[in-house]
Amino acid sequence: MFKALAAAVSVVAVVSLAGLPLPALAQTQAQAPASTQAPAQNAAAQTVTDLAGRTVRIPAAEPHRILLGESRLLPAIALLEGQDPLAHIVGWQGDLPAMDPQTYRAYAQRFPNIGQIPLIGQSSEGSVSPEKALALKPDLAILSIIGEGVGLHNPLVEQLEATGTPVVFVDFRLHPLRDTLPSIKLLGQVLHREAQADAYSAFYSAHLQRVQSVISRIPEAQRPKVFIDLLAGAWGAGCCHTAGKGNFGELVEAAGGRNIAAPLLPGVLGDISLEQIIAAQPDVYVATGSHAKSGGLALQIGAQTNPQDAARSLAQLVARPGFDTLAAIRNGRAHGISHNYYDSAYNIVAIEALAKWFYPEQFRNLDVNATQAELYRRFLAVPPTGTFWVDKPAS
Amino acid sequence: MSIPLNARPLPLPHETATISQYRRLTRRRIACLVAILLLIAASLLFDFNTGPSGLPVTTLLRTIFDRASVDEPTRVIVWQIRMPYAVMALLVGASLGVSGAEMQTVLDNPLASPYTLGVSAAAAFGASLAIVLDLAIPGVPQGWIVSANAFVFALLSAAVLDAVARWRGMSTAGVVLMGIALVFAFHALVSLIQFIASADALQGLVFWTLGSLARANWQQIGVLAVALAVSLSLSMRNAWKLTALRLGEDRAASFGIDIRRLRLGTLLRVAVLSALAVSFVGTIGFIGLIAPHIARTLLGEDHRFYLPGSALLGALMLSLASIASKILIPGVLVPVGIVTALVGIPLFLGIVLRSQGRVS
Amino acid sequence: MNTMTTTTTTTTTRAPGLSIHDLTVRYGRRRILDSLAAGVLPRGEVTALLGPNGSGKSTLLRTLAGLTAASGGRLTLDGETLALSPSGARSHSVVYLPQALPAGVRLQVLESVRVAYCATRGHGSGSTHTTRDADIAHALSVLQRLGIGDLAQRSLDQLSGGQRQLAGIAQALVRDPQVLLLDEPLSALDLNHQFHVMQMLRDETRRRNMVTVVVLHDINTALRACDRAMLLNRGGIVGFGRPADVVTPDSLMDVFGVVARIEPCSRGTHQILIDGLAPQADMASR
Repeated sequence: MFKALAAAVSVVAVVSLAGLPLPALAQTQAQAPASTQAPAQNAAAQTVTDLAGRTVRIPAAEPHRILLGESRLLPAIALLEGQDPLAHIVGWQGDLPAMDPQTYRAYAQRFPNIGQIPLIGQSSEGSVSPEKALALKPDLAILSIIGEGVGLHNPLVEQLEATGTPVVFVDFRLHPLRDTLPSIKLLGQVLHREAQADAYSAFYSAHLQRVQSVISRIPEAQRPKVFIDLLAGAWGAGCCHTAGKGNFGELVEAAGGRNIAAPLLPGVLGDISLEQIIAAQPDVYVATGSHAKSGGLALQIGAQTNPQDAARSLAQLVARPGFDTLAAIRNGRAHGISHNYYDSAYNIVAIEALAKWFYPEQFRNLDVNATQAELYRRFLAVPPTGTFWVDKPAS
Repeated sequence: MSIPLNARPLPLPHETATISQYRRLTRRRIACLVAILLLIAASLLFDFNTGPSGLPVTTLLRTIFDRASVDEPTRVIVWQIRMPYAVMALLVGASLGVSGAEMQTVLDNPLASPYTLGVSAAAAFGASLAIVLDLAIPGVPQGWIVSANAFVFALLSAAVLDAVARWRGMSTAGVVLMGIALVFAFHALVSLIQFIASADALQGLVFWTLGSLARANWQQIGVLAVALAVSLSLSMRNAWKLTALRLGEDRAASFGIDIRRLRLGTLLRVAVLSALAVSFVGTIGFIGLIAPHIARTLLGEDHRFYLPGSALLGALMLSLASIASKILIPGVLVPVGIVTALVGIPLFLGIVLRSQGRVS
Repeated sequence: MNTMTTTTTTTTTRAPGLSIHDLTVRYGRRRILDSLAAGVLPRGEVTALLGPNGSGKSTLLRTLAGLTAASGGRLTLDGETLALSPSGARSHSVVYLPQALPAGVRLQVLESVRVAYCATRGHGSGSTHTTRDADIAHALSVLQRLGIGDLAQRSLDQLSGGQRQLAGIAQALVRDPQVLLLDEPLSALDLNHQFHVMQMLRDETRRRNMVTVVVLHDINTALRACDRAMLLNRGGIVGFGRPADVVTPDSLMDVFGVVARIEPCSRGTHQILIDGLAPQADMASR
């Protein structure tokens, strides 16, 4: 008798719970997808194709409630939004203060209310709360295809679309060289800042063209071999983490360098032993750094770092045991650069800095500082503080 | 001649006392199950009511009964997020609970869990093949590719385990060891795939393996509900035999129970349920390990009570974990797999210390 | 070649009881039991299975239980052939109690007996229309007859070894078996329970007219409490018949390599006293 009771209870419980979705299913099936449903007041909406290949319908009105899948998209947005980049941001992921705190502080100094922007998560995709994101009722969502925020395959994407919010994906990380300009153009379209987007694109292209026109004339065999030490020193005294095809590897290639890790790693990122680096004998060594705590063995660099600290930290890095066997370091061709350029609309600055290191003769007249100054002056509301690259270690 | 049952006289007075005591025990156990069911209902409502968007109860109720009166985001929050997550927590918890109970009986090992067969690790491997290498089963709709792969590989690992166990005539201890070996093997394979993964695929894979209810949708709930209903009814049909198994394999065999068939059927049920659970929500640990222990303490090992009790306790535990994941750190959604581990570990240590290592 | 002592009872296979015909059990290439044949193990009598370690006692018992596959020979009960695997109807005729009793089982004694009864219901003997109360009463009556009725509500993991053994026997008896097989039921028991269990086995064997086969280590228990003895050595039957006929100083010397004598006690029963080990020369030739 009891068996029957137990079975009945469990079946009833389970079936009634399973019966709940029927109204919901009916509801969502009747719901037209957002991309074909235009709000009544928008007569001239446009259709864009985002960096994930998705076709999205954008309303004609300017967005006033923007949700950012990663707060590290702020510098890109800032390029187009001019003097008040935070005005229309209604919520974002918490990756900027966690992973690039110096930039965050630079913006906080200029815009103290940055801390009041609601967070939809911390610094990993697993911490995103879809409910929070939806409760913000955004009228536009700008997400990165990959990153530490809402990614391409996150169920939140569909949920946002179901509420009528247009969702567009940009990319500065997966294929930085290929995707930076299209991403800027897309941002210009969705934010209705086409003029600013065109201006930045022109700036970017001109500087890129200048570098590549020189490099394209140099045959492959004469290009310098380069090793990128990603987040150098972060792995203790051990060595080394680097990028293969993609990430910083792509920037190195764009600047005319031959990344020694490219043929070695099957994926984007990987570890290479010091022995292997020595065997490859790179001509140039580049260390990257991010939000290192001061005092540790790491590259000090960023929007709030002074040049002396940066140079000193680089000197500590190249003084690690075994590194003096590298010709690059003995010949003084050891440099440091901010790690965050791997996912940044400003990567043109990094490309110039790298190019100048790789080809000091050809780029004798290239003034990277001037490029950065121009970028900040023309497009950004924050001043160009800090150190983002280090030419040589402190002696 | 043996005394036929029908010729038995009426029970004597002191026998009646024992019989009524036994009946009282049965009633107490049923009451316990009903109490857990009520707690589940309460937890479900609480879970449904909790969330960072601060929607008041009145709004929640209106969204259910008068759909048009609320705006779209609220509808999506209630129907696509709150409800499916809460319901999925119950179904996955129940699946893991009953699977853990059956595993611990069939393998005669109180440390067994649904993942002992390597199901979860194999599912992660299947998912990694889909996410990183785009290797999918042809004909499966896009949204189900990863889950389908995970499911197939989970079943495959159970099948391999069973085949090897039968080929070598393995004891249950051997099966457990073999399962552990499979777990390590699949973990290593997943690491290998991660090594060659592109950046976005890697992120997708890491996100997938993290135990989280946030991928739940209604179709998955439907599939799991059906599977759970079928599996649970099959389990209850075997309840007497599984209880007999607790008296010892040889004794049970001499009662006429086909041990191999019982074990195979049980492992198959466990594999299917836990494979589904893992493929939908990733690896959520400790429920399948702890719920059976608590059920055993409350209800004894008569599987007619123990199995449903384990299912209900698993559902309750995961529902509470789901609530905890929302309110533990204000403003932050802690992945539910982390919550179950944080709570499960001290609970598990408590169990071990209380029994002072006397578990068989 | 197996030697058999002559018995005074009839050896026709039509007599009520269990008969073993040319039973062979192999493990790989090794023959554990080699064409074992024995006359009838009669109903209503307790047969002790004796022999040194490795003689095949447990294997024989397990083969009788159907848990170990025989590669040759057959078994008959009352002249009818017994199936070799414990499924279906056979499981209601033959019940086997292994040596090891599981620990840490949270079942009450009464529940465990009921499980033994209900586990395979509806196959052959035992009515299928009994109410639950009748189940419980039946289980309880078995417990009472074994003298452990007051332990009905206790959990198995709280019993002593002796009590658990009796509970195990109750689980077996509730199935109304024709053949009861026990593997060393007295090994872990104190003197009191050893006596009690053997007493219960004898009483129930007589009352239910079962064939009871018990593997024993203690020869004296066999002498005192069993009706028959079967002495095994190296996979063959060395003696089968009344215990006093089978267990002799010679057979003990042959099989166990001990020097023993059998002394009659004041009450007429016999006691075996071991004086020492066999001389080494004899040991080597064994």
